[in-house]
Amino acid sequence: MSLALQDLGSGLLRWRLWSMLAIDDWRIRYHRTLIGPIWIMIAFMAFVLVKLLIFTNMSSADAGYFSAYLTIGFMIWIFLSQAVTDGGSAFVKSKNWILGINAPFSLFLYSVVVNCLINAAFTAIPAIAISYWVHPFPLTNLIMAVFGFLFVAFSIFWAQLLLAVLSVFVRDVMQFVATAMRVFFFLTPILWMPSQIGGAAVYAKYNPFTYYINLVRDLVLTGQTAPINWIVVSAITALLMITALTVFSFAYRRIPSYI
Amino acid sequence: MTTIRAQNISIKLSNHKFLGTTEIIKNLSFELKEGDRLALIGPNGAGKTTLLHAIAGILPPASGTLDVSGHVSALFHLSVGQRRECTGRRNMIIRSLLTGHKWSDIQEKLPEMVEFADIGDAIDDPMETYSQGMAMRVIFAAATAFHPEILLMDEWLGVGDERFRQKSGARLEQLTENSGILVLATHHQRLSREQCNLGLYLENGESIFFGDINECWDYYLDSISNQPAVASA
Repeated sequence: MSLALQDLGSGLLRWRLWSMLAIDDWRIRYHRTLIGPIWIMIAFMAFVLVKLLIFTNMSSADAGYFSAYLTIGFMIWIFLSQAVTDGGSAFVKSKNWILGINAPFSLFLYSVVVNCLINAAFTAIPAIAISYWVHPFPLTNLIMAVFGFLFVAFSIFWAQLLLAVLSVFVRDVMQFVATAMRVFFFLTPILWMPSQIGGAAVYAKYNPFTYYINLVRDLVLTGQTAPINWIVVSAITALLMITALTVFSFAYRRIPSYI
Repeated sequence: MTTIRAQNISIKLSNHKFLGTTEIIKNLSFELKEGDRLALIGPNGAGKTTLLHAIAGILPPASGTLDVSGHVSALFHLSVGQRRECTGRRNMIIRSLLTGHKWSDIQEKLPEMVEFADIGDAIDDPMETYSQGMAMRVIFAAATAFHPEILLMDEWLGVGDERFRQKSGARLEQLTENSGILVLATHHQRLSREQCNLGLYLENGESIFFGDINECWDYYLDSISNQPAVASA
């Protein structure tokens, strides 16, 4: 356990490096484009508007509330999906670095986390603007929502670490995760509300992503969230943390040989 | 005290679909103390580069113990971490941070790195606009700016045009002189006889000879001359 914790700690202390790597990655993605990261906002708004056009008409809920519900839910889903898929491949994609330089592995994961948070900040701007426009809410709600979002990001970090280690040993893990995320998008209450789909609401009840999304979305739209959301997310976080640390510790010395 | 102690180390690598490893270094032991200059010699695929990676702390041994005491600088994979879309100056900073140097030390050394690379105002242009020679100057200047206690090299480095080659050669001489221990993987007989006092002859990951550099080369040359030549098709 000590080598894994040491790696996570020494990696964290090198914040200047992983933040620079993340910012550079992000700048490189929009290198020589005319409007750069504005594309993140445009892409988000285009997807949301199309979804609103179709799904608002299909929903029996109040159109304003449902539009905000869908927009915020979709924003959080994009973060979760990117965090899990990019975080899971953080070590494999850094293979040349890991085999070229003696540096903490966690550096590459922290860099991915920052990258995902920057993207989330850019999608949050149009998401909050659209939601506020269609269903005004007290802007003070955002204070608790940011806290809730950071808790979700902390929780997902352990899933990212676990997947990043597992995918070093079995490359199919990332293919499995990418497929699972596509399926879960439809099983998670983003485009629909559990109250509208009768017996199929069971998909939401036993789906961990439901609680992650509800936690933040409820805080944005209503300023409070049901205790069950905090309880489930906290329990999953504890489970993920223990599992990720155990697997990382066990696998630590083997990562460079297998990558 | 700068030392390297390897006791019965084995190093394994995997390129399998599901687990499974191949042993690259087998049961290897040697000890180096301050002032030693070791040449790793042997045919391609003998395990020289893998051993350098282990000493650099990149590949931990699967078994045995490897104690490395002293700050290590690995002068191989110099292009790792290079981002062509970023400026030469930015790449120098990232390379130095990656190799574990402090921000304050990097700030102090940065003007010297820029001066050594000697590419003028281009240092603040993206590296994708550089010629290969200019890129190597930047990378070399950053990689050799700090004086290590243990210097690892995979073949002697020669970079840039004739003028820069002389300059970089002089810096390498200086680095090897100032380092506590040098480990050089090479096929270059004359260079390793000049630069090193010890030789480790590896074959298929096993130590065949470890000792005086001249005796090591003689042993290696004898053994390859006694091997049957590969029949031509």
